[in-house]
Amino acid sequence: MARAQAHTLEAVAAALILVSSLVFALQVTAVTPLTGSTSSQHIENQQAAVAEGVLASAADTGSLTPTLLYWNESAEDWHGASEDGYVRGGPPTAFGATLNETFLDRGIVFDLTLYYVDDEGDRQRVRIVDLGEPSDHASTARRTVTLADDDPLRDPDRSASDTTLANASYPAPDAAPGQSLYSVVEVELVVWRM
Amino acid sequence: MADVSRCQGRDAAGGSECRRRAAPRGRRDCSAHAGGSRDRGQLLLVGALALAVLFVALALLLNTAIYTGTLATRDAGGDATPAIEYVSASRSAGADAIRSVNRRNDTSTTDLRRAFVATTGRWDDLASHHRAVVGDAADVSVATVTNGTRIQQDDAGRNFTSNTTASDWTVVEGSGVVAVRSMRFTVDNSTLTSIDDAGNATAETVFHVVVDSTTGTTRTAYIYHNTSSGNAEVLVDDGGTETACPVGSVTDGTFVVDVSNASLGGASCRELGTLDDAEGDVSVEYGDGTAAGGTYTMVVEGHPTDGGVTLSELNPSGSPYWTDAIYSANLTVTYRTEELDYEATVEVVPE
Repeated sequence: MARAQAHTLEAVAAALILVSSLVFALQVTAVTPLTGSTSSQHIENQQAAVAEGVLASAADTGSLTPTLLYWNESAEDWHGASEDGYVRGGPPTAFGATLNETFLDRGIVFDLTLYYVDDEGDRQRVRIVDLGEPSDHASTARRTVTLADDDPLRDPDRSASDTTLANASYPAPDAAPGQSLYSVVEVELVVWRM
Repeated sequence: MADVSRCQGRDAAGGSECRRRAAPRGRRDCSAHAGGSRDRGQLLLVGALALAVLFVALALLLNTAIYTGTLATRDAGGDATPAIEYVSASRSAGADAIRSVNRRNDTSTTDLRRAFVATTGRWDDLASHHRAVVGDAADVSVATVTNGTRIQQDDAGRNFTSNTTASDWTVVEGSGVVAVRSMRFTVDNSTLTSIDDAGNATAETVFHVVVDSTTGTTRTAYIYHNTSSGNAEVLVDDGGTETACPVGSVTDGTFVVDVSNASLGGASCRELGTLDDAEGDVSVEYGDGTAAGGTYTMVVEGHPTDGGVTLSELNPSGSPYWTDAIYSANLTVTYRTEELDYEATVEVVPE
């Protein structure tokens, strides 16, 4: 009888040890920024809100459009950018500085992409900033921007040039010929933690 | 029960330890053994129960933790941000469209309306294409268009007199004129009357604009050159209080009096913005038009073909003149996502 009790107690003790070792094993697993958890979901929500806020404020203060017009016609690229766009941070414009201050300085990287509708009605993209492939926990914010025929392209020193969109070679074509509307483009900002 | 029957069974077979002991005491021994088995059974039951309770408690704890995590990261209802952004984008696109069709100066209100509907439709095609990619259905359509009249003087060398060079004259009046917007003057600095005290502006021969309405106050703006400060100034009289604003900057001898933007040569002048806050039957009058020169433009709500708009002191062409224009428009914006169905009518009035 005493032996049976001992066995029972032993079984309970063994079960407890098993359960506690499982709990311990779960607790000591390395948590990386990419580990899925409620906290990283929370960070994603926060970053999505910040990205939306940055785009909204840039659109409101009028600093978003000049960045989209910071186009080098002869090089068919953004001023001072590589083929993949800017790969070291935001563009050298007011909006680019805001992006660097808001994200890059805090260890958050981002991709900025311009989407437009081409003559065939297909949606095409031009990379403005390419800082790598977004992780699985990236957040995305989008903003629609209306471009007009008489919007001037920007010179490398960020001043307005004499070339307006109507007579410039810009990635997006004039989607409304005969109207002062040039095109409606979408700016996509993807942010994620390094 | 099982243990007891096993003991009895072993008794019957004659091989149990009960049997090997003294037969008369065998029964007592066996019952004692059965009592021990019962204890063990109880122990197992209690143990199993305790374990069961422990596991249920653990499961509850785990469940609570998971539920808390789910709640903490759940969105607070449907996300209306894209719908609101789309409405604001379509409003500014509508304002741009009105401005551009007015600028192209088409000949009739029908042409203007057609051009406006076409531009808005094209904008909607492009914008809703981008929205469709993320699974949202968006649409903008023109509900109503309000006709207006644009009043303009393009000849920068002319003073602010009427078509018959009358100095005090009525630019526009009538029961059909219900509002005025986009009032801008580009004034030639050298044409202004010089006075030494802003308080004398009302008494001297100083160019002034009077915006009068049947339901609101009469507001007057005097434009002059103040010799004390050496600057051009605007004195706004809102029907009692007089406020003077100095000009911000004069470029090439001219400065802009922007009523819609409440600015004077780039400098803010809050009181100036109240000048066109008139509703009801609005009339715009110029006084001492010889005391200032330059160009101006404004749009009033109301059109001569709809009646009640008197523009007799303007030319059909050549300064000062009037043309057809769109005053404002109502757009119906619908936006549908998985969790949101939004529809709104937004009024678009360019500044």
